[in-house]
Amino acid sequence: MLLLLVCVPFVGALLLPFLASRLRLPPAGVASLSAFLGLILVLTQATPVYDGEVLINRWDWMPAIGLSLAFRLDGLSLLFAQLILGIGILVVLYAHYYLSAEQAQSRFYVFLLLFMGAMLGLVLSENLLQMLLFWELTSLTSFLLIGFKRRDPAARQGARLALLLTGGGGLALFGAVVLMGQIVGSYELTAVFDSGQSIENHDLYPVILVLFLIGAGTKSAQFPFHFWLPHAMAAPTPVSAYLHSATMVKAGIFLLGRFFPVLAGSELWFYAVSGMGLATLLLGAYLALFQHDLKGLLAYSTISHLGLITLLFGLGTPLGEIAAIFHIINHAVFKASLFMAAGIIDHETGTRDMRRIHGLFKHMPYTGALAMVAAAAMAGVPLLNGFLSKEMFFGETLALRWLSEAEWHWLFPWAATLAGVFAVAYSLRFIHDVFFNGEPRELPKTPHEPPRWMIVPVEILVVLCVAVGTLPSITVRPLLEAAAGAVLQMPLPDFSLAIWHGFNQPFFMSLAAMGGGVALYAGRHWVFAVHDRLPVKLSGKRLTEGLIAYLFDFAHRLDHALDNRSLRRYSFLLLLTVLVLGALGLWGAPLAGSGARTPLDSGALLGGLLLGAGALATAVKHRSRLIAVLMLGLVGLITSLLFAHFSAPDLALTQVLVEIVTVILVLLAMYYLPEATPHESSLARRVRDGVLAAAAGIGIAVLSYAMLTLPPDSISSFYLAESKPAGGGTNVVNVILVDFRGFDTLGEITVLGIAAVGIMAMLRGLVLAVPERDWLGRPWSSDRHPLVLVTVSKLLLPIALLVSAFLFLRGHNEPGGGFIAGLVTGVGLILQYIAEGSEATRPRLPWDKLGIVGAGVIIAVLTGIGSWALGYPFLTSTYTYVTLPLIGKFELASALFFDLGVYLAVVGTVLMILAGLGGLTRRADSV
Amino acid sequence: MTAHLLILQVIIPLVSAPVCLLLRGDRAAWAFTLTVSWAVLANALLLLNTVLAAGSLSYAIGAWAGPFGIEYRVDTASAFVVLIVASVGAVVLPFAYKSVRHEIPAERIGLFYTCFLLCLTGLLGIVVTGDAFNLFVFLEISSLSSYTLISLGRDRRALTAAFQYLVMGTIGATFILVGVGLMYMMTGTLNMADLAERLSPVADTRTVRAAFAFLTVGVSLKLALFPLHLWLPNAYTYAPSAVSAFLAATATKVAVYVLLRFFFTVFGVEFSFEAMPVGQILSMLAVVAMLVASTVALFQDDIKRMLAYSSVAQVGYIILGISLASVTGLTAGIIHLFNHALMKGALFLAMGCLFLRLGSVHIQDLQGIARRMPWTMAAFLLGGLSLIGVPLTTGFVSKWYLVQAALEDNRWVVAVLILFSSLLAVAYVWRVVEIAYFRPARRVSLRVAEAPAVMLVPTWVLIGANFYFGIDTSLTSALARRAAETFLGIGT
Repeated sequence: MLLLLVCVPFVGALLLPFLASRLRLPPAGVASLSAFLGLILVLTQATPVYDGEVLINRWDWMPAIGLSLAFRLDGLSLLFAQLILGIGILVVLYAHYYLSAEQAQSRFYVFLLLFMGAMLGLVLSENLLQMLLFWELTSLTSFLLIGFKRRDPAARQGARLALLLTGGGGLALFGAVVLMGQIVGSYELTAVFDSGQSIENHDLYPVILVLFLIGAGTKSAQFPFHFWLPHAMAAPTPVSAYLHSATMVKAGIFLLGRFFPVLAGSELWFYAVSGMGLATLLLGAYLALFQHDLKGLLAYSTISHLGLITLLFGLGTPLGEIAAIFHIINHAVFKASLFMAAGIIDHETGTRDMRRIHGLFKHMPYTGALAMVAAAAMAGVPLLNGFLSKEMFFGETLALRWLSEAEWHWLFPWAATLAGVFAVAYSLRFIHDVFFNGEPRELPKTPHEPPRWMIVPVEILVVLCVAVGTLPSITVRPLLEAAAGAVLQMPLPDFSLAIWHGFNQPFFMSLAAMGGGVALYAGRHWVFAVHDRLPVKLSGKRLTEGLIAYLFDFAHRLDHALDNRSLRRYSFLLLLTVLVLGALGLWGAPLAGSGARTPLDSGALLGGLLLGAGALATAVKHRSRLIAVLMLGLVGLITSLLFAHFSAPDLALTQVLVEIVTVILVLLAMYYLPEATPHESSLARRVRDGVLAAAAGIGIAVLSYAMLTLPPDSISSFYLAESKPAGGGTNVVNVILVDFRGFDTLGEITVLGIAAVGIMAMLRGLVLAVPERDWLGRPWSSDRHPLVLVTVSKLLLPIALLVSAFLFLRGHNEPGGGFIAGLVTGVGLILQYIAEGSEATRPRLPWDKLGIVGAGVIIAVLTGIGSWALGYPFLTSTYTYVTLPLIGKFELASALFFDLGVYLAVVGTVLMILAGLGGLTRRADSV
Repeated sequence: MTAHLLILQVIIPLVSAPVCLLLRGDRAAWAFTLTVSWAVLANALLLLNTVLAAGSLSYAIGAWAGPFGIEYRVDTASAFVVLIVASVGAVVLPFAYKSVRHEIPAERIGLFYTCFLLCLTGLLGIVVTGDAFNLFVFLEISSLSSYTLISLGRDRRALTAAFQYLVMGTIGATFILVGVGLMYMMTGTLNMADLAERLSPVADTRTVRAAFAFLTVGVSLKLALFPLHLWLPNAYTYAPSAVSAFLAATATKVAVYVLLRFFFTVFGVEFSFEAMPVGQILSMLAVVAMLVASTVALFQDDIKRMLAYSSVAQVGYIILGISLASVTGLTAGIIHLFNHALMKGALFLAMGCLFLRLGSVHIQDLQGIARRMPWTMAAFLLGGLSLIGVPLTTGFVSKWYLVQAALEDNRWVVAVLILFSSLLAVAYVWRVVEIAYFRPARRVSLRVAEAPAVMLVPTWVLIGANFYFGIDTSLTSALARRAAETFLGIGT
């Protein structure tokens, strides 16, 4: 039933555009119908709640994270649901007349209904997370409503400010709820209430309370978060009448009431909540007096009244809570009617400036009379509802003297009276300035009474003001008792709602407020002058916007500090990180192991020295490109010699070939480099980089030493033992490559293939300008294809092919194999390109080079898949011996096919990359 | 074939890549790749099913049992990550057809799909392998192919971005290789399970610690952990739209998976989090990443770049969960792997739709675009809500677990910072929403039409998933929890 209730406005919002456009129903009619339906649903459920029962409907939803769909109808939710729906109906009716035809699209009512649904969901939630969900939804939908006038920048800014503050507050609330849930162990309100004092006694209670108050305070415009509310006055007036009287700003107040049983009662609660309320009450009342905008006055008065309610909750006394709830009702009623009246005035005169609107009573006496009654209620004039709750408020501030040990309890009655003085003064200003005080000045329109039905909602509300003010026990007492019972969670104390309590202290306070207010208003010219001369006023909006601007600026600078798109910076940071982490990780570990040291021989020493010199020379001579490339070649050569020296012939062979291909590649690339090398960076930076590089080098050296001095313990003995019997080859390196770890090789040739594809993709369609000269400024040689080179290369090709076939076939047993053979073939073919140029070579090598790479990978994979046919896992190998004429008996392993795939992929890639890069020249030449 | 499910997961895309290269015409290449990616997804689902029934699966390649041969091994965590990668691939490809035709010259499209398949191969291979070196090989496959994919972006700056990524990525890969090499020297084995056993006796040596440091830094670079994230914004900004979506949803996730494997399976939780100070370092960096990257995102005018920075922040969330090394923390991290893939995938796909119609995703070009492209912008809005972590979305579920984990560990300051960074997310998402929804449209964008259905449907499939898995969390949270327990060695 409760789910249905919450769904009604949402369904209404969903159907509204359809009903309005297809069936030509007035959107306001549909909207008020939904609200009306909701109200009836609430009222059917209300009877048991008045008797103190709590209705809970629950559906399990996400038990894993403690989220269920659960609704709760108790006195407090009942009160709020009635306010939301009841005032909602009136606002819709009012909006129908207020909004111009252009504005009154169904969009407005859709937003309004969505907001209404969110508010209902919030007040009816039993599950806390679900409550949060609706809480954020109210922020979001209120943004849409406040910013409804899209073209108006003030509306956009006001809406954004409201969203920023209330949305941010929602996150704080989220934190508070999560902490509470952690402590209680459940996110159900019932469980939270049952937990008694456990939250208050927990260490995190202060954190919870602060987060909670940020959440509630932002929403209810409490100091210091109050400043969004006046800016939200850019909303259409029906929105203000709804959001800032009965609903949105009351959501924070609702929360105070909701969590009163578990959070209130501590000293911290008293100081924080009543302090916040007191500050808000005074500040709002004071500032309200100085507003010239009609709605601005009402906005600050709302802030002040919200502060009053918060203060009452902060006192923590049972009677204080009753007064708070009573004032929630009263404020909602008179403030909604006042906003509507302000809207009518705006509508009929075309302005809301109280310096221009005067003497309206003559033009619209009926509206004037209604507005004056409502304003009197706001001021707390007897026989009206505002008087009753204000009287209770005064009484509570006095009662504090006996209830609290607070030193400054005397402050409260005085502050309350002072706020009362200002409230009377600004109410008086609302009445006197607008309806009397001379003639209107330069009004855009001639004022007259509004359409009959537009005033009906105001009439209803004003009647309520009077009815509650005169007959409180009949009209409001049951609801008040039900709601207060839900807040206090205990039997209510006796309280009297009489109009007349005799000549007691609260009455004299009221009297003082009246007198003071009239006096203040009488001397307003002097007060205004003093106020205007006050030093610069803090603007929360400007502060927030400044903060945001600062944040953006900070982000900007941070972005540039972190990311100046310099690779040098990146690699510097990276190396630094690894050095620091490495140093942290290594601290305190033993330096070397106990393994046997290999004695140092002269060959290795020489090699090591040359290696170091070569690396250093590459860095130092990097401006002379040719020398740098030669030095790189030297480093590579020494490395391969060292491999050979430490008995790794396969590695040495591969390294030499890779070195050749690399040097050719670098030389080809050099052709396209700009003639001048870029500027040398400053010495300081070079030294900095040098130090870092040296530190990294030393780190690696230390590591290698530590590692190499450990006693060897490896599974390589397995490979040595099993290579021949299980893998069918005596070259362990090759057997590992094509058999034991063949899948790695498959992966690596794929990597090669990707490199080929990538380069192909980047080079396609690329035309580079051919430099006229080389990097030293010399013109290119006119003899592009020297005869000697052509002849020798022709001779070399068959030899290279023969050698690679030899290397390939013997690879399984002796140094060699598909990878090395592929490189040899590749180098041989490349020589053809270099000697004769791509134009001449291309027709003789017509195959699609990418196709060769692809075929290589496919052959390798198919070899692997083949083993499935025999019932073995992927890449299982087998071998046999065959005898061929001329070559003799040799071993044929299935791994050989795999190696063929490797061979093809390598040949294809080498050709792709080198011929592709060289081919750019051809294309460029022909341009 | 079920016996070979595990290896098929890698072999299907691997063998398809060269085949795709031989196809003529971009439509054929696309259709083929699409079919393959769906086959990969089907395989991934079968695999997950098998793993859920059997606990874990192992496959000895070449019939060489580990530690001598290469062993492939899948447990709940890897099956889950495989599912993420495969499903993102399967969703992005239908989208890719029009987007790629628009952004990439016709003669390169065949190559594009080849690289896409290879990238898929690499990412899947990393996840299913049980061998440290084989992992490196597949890491290279995925990295190289992603460099190529990024370089294919229409903007010339894509080349620079790809080059930067290449240099940084290669340094990272080298670190990983050094780390694997050091481990091999210390233990003589490359098989992860075997490594785990053999490392503990030598855990107190400098070499093992160094190996750990190298691996951590190398992998952190790959997963774009602050401050090693610098390659990511450019790469995601200038890559073709489909690539941004695919990589953003998968690449960093797989790198996180690698981190998890090394920390928890290979080195073990005691070594990683007690002997080494990695827990504190990572959680600190993660929190800084959350805050700094979100702040920087606030300032970006290119929305793809903004989303890229948001990814850096989101990686912070994931790493934060992991660094807590508790069941809830790991669950939070792992579930966010999945959830972030969904939200970022959806958001980048929406970017692709915008780019198709506007030729730009600069914030100024998006003014009032919501009325012209309502479906696209609605997708962005909903994806943004998920990114922020609004209830009913997957983002909320992740954040919820993460906050719980932080609180369990008594780090309520961290919990508050998580919420604060969500606030930053609200700000940067809202900035776009406001411009797209509440500003009047520019004259040039008045004739812009909504993106075609073939692109909207995949986008909305991901948006739908964001809400589906935000509401029904039983599958994802059960998987993530089980994976977390496996990593921590609790339960089965």
